Amino acid sequence: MEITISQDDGRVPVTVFHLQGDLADEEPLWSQAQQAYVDGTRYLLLDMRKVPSITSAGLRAIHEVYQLLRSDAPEESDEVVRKGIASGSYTSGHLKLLKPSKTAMKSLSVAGYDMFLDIYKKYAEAIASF
Amino acid sequence: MDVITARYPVAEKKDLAVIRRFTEAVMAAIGVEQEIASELVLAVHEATANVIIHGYKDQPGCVVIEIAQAGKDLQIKLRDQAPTFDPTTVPTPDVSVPLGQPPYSGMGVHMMRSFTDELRYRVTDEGENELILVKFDAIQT
Repeated sequence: MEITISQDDGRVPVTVFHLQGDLADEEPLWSQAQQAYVDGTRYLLLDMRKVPSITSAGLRAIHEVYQLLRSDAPEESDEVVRKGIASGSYTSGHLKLLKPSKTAMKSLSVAGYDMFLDIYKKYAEAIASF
Repeated sequence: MDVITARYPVAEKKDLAVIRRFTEAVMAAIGVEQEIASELVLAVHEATANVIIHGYKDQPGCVVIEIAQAGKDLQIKLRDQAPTFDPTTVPTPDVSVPLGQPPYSGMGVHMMRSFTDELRYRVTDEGENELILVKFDAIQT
């Protein structure tokens, strides 16, 4: 797994992780995300156009990143998320995904991640959504 | 029934990528439809990762993979010598709420179940774990 990082602007500054290769380990996504968070990232787009598949370890990494990004976001407190999930109105405002492959999408769906992470087909739409 | 076997006498976590590539190559060689092949590669990865990480506790251990074709169906057997454990008894995790620590102890098995049609387990006469992953109509004519 290789990760290159870029910055873009929606209504907020957005960090973009361009992932390349199978997401089969927690590293390096988790460590790169931690560093980005320390450096000020609060809105992250995972560009998954070059990710053929995601294993359970990769899913774990995505979940850890999701938890990290909402850790100091009061609008995404446990209570708010729980209510939003129950009403079907909640998706993360801090972590979004760009165009996973069919197989990667299957892993995300099996794990229920498509219920709380917005998934976009076009880069510009993904950035504008933040 | 044609059977292709790979034996990894001292499999470690770093070998998971090699095992994925082996499974991919066999799937391609016997004509498994691409989307099904990708899912089966993931299922084999999750099964072997569980054996290496939990069964062998990250120590090197033997893993044998047999991929057998029976008509259009595919049967993948994984054998290992870790302490006996039946992964088919692992409960399906609750994935409805993404809060707290997610139920990852069951996620690999959940993926295996989702990507195959049958998951069977037995202890062999030699006392090994044998997990069988079955996919019906996997092979293109």
